[in-house]
Amino acid sequence: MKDDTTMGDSHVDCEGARRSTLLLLYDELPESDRLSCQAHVGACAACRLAVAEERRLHAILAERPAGDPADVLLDRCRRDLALALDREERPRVAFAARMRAFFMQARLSPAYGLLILACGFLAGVVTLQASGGRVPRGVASAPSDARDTSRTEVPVENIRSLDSGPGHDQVRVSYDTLQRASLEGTAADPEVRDMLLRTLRGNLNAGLRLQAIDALRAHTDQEPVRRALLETMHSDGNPGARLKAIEALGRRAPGDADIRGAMLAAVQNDRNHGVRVRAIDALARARDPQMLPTMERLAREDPDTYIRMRSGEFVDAMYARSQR
Amino acid sequence: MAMRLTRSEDEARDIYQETFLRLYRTLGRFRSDCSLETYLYRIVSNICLDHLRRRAARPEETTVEFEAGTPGRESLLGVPDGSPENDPERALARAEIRRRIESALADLAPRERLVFEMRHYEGMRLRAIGEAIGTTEETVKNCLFRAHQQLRAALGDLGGFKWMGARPGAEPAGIGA
Repeated sequence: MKDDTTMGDSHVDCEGARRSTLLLLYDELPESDRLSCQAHVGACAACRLAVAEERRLHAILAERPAGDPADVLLDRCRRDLALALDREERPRVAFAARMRAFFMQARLSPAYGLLILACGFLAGVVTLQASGGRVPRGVASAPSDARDTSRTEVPVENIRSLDSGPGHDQVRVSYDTLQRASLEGTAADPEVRDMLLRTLRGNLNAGLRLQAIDALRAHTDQEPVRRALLETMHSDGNPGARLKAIEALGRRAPGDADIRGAMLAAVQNDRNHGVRVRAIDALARARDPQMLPTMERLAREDPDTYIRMRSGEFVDAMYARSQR
Repeated sequence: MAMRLTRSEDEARDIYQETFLRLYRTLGRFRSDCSLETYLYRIVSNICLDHLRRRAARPEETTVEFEAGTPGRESLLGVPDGSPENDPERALARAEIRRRIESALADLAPRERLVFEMRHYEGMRLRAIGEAIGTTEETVKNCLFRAHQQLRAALGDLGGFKWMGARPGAEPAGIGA
C-alpha cells in the first residue's frame, strides 16, 4: 500500500487520487492529471479498491429506471403550457428601458445602423424601379375617389378579378379577405362536425387535433367521423392523437372489422409503446376469433412483455371459449 | 430532468410549465452572455432546487412513482415471463435496489442531488452545471464528491448482485478504460 506517488512533476496522495478517480470515471479529468492518477492507482492497492467501489456504485446506480417522460405526458405538458401562455399577459418592458436599449445599441454600432439605413433605401429604390411605379400585388390600395363597396380593414388574401372599361378610368377589383369567425353548436351539427374533421385532418396544432377527437368521440357511428378517426389512428404523426383515436373507436371494435384491422396494424407497426398497449387492450376486449393466428404469433414473438401477455390472455380465452 | 428528480408526472408537469412560463416572462431580460440553452437550464435548475428544498422541508410528501412501461413497473406487478431478466427473485431484488437508490438520492442535500442528477444521469459537463446553477466548477466538483460519498455509504452493501457486472472485492483491470 502506498500513500503517495511521484510522476514527473506531479505528486499525488491517496486522498487526491480518490477525488481524481471520481472525475476520471466521469471523463472530467485533464490529460496530465489522468496520467498521474492512473500511475498512483496502479501502485496503490487501497486506491484500486476505492476505484472498484466507485465502479460498483456506478453499476448499482445504473439499475435506476431512466424515468424519461412518456409521449402522452409531453403532449399534455405542451397543451397545458399553450393554455397557460394564452392566459399569460404579454411581458411588458418599460418604455424607458426599451429606449435605453435602443440607444445603447445605436451608440455601440453606428456603422451597423447606417448600413441598415442604406440597405433599406436601396431596396426601396430597386423595388420602385422594378414595379415601374405600379402598386405591388396584394396591396389593397385605391385612389382617394374610389368607391369601395365592400372593403373593410382586413388583410387581402387573393385578388380574383379586375374589371375596367376602355372608355373610362373606373376599375373594379374583387379580392378575398381573411377574417376570424366562430361557429357554435354540438359536434352532431354537420357544419361543426365538418370543421372538426377538417381540424383533425389538416391542422398542424396537435393540441387542436386532440380536442377535435374529444369532441367527435361520441359520434363515431357517423361514417365521416369513423373514417377520419381510422385515418388518424393510422397516420397522425402525434402518438397522443393516435392513442385517442384508438380510445374513441374502441367500443365499436367488436362489431367493425375495419377498426379491428387498423388496431391490429397499430399493435404490429406503431412505434409508440403506449399506442400499441392501448390497441392490444381494445383488441383483447373485441374477442374476434379471426385474430387468433396473429395473436398467437404476437404472444410468441413480440419483443414487448405486456403485448405478449395480453395476446397470450386473448389466445387462452379463445381456446377456453372453443372448449365450451 | 424534472421527471428524474420528482419521479412524479404531476410534479414534473408543474416544473415544465413553470420553467417555460418563467422563460417567457423573463425573455426580455435575457442577455447574450450565455446561450439560450444555459439560460433555460438556469431557470429549470432554480425551480428544481426550490422544489427539492420544499420537499426536504416536508419529507412526508416524498413519493416515488414508477411510470407505466418501465421495467420497474413490470417487476413490481410481477408480470409472468420466461426470460431470465424477469425471474421473480431477481425482479424483487431489482425493485428493492431501486427503492434503496431513490431513498439514498432523496437523502442528499438539494444542491448535491441536483448536481448529481445533472452530471450522472443527464450527462452534463461540470462547467455547464456550474453555469446553470450559478457557481464555480470547483464547487460543483465538491458537491459531486460529497454526493458520491453519501451514496457510497448508503448503497455500499448492495454490491453482491452478480447481474450488475461487479463482484464485491473485485479490483478493476485498469481505470479510465
